Amino acid sequence: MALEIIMPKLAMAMSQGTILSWFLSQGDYVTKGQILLEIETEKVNYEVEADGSGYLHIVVPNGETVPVEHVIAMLAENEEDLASLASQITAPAGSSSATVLETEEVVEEKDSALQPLTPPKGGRVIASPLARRLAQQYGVDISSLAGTGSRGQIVKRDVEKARTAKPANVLAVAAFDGEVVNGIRVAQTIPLAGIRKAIADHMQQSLAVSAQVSNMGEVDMTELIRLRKALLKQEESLGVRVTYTDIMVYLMSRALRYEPSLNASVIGEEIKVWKDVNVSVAVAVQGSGGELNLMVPVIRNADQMSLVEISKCARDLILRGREGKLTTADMEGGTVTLTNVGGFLNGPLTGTPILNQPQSLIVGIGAILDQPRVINGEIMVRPIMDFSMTYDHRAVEGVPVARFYSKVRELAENPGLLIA
Amino acid sequence: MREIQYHKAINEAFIEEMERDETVYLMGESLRGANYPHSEGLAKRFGDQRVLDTPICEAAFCGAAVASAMTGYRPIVDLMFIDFMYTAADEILLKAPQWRFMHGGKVNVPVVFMGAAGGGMKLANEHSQIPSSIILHSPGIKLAVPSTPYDAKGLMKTAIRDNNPVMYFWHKQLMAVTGEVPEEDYTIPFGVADVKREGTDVTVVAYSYMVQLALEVAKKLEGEISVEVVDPRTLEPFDLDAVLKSVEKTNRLVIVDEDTERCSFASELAAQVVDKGFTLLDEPIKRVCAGNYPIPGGYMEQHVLPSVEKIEAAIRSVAV
Repeated sequence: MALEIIMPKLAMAMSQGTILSWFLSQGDYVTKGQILLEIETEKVNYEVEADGSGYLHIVVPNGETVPVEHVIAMLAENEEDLASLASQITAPAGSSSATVLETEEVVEEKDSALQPLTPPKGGRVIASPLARRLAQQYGVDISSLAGTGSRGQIVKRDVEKARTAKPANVLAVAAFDGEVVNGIRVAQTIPLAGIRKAIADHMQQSLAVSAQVSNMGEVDMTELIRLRKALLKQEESLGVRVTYTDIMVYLMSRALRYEPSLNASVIGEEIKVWKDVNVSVAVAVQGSGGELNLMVPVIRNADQMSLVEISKCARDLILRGREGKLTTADMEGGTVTLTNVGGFLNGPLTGTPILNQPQSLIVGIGAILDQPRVINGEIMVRPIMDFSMTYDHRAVEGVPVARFYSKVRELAENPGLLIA
Repeated sequence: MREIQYHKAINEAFIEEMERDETVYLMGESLRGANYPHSEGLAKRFGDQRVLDTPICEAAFCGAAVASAMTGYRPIVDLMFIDFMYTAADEILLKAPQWRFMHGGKVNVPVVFMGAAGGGMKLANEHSQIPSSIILHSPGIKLAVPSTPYDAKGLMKTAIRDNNPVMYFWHKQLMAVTGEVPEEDYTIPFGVADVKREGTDVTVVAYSYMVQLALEVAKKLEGEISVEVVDPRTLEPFDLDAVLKSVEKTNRLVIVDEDTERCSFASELAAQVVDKGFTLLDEPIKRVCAGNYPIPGGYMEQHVLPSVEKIEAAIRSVAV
């Protein structure tokens, strides 16, 4: 006879414990009182003593968590018993503990001449190939069904029964002759490939590699609207129709002069603070299939350009983007990014843009909407634009970001400073 | 429509094709004496030159038939008992099927080999086999396995007109079976199965005499289990689509094959259905075949050969 060693219950509230470390190996001879292993509970770590002697057969290995009173090892009287214990096919501790933790369910007896093969729920589902296909087609969860086939397997009629028992809206899915995935009807399938795939990878990679912090704010656009209106009147002589995006590129690039540390990238083990201020501008471009793709062409040395130069450069890039003529060179070398979703909005909305790697700052701007604001003690209606920033906290501190935001607001409210 | 017996249907096919085409002739054992009635009256009608009796030398006359087929004749070789084909295995399984390929397609080998197949007559192992798996395992030869007088005549005519070697199993137990056969000329294309009985619960694929047994069981189970009986009529070429179409409806398949179970046509079909129709199946495919033993003589043979009881049990085991 082998002696069972169980997970001890050390406190009233203890329901399970984790094997931290066995101090002895499989097959070692254990004497009574010897410290066998260390366990971890929610509150304490505890060393378990052997309450008998024998050859150790470990049932639950290091790192596994089991309920209290679950057998974690056996002490065999002799080596023969040990060998027979070791040769018994034991389920991996992970699954055995899972089985114990689950509520036990009674398997329904079937009056079949053959032994029913239906296992307890959670185990392998025994179903005919046809039943599996139909279940997938109808969106029926096959693991919840009882089988009535010759061997207790789930067959077509079991799936049909479950299907007809479903509410009407699910029946609509069943009657759908298009593609159904997980019981949901598919309207369109877009391959995650090409530009779409590149964007997806870039976004995910960005979140994976950097420490992104987002701040939300707003900018009072009263003065910039006045400025733009004036510039629109001069459209002919300027040769370009200046947009708010252009103005914000100009303004950001100037504000960065005060906070140059934001114009930086983590490259390897270093932070490169860039001399060039190259502003990437996110542009939604309609693809050939009608889908919207994100392109991010770069306005190089925006801080050295006049507003009109920025505007003309941006027009050229956007036009070429729409024609699908942007080159890799057009989209490389950005040091900060501006993304403007205002054109698509009819209300306030602020977001947390994802950094355009390896940049450390991205600014998102929203719609300009009239909002009540308190100015000099009076409630006034002002055109307010949502303004959000995401920065990489590996390269950039919060204080310069706050100062940059304040500088943007200051310049926006006093555009005259830009020529001062 | 008039009804005639199975052997008479074969006899008519011979007569019609021999009259239609003078290159068609019969060669084999005990033809003039009509040991089996399908050759009755042929010697008198067509003369000694076109109905040749041979000594008991299968390798020799099968070889002669292959050679004459290559030179433009259409021999029908009657081996009397199909079990005797083993002595002419090289001619039947290798030369006839493969010489067209050996010669780069320059020759045709339009020969029909035929013989009495199957058990149930208590004739023991050397006169009771239906060795379809050996034919199917030999690429290049077709295999016709008629189960009714109508099929027997139509398939024989197609076999004679085919430019490739054809093995034609006629079943001893079917010899006296009567069925409708039109008087006018007709043929049955190879590779087209015939649904002998429609049903919705279980598909039974059977060939030759086993079709008759399957129909008997299907009739017995009427009102309880609806059995569809599919007769492929030729095993090579084989109408897999017809089987899949039926299984799509019934989701259950029983294959009845009088040949020895191991490596049989039934095993092959089961494998093909699992491959091509896996998701049509609700139950395991069942085979009812001859056991993996020699067929004993006398009454003992019933313990080895398929029977209505075994077929019924197989159907019931999947029709739960």
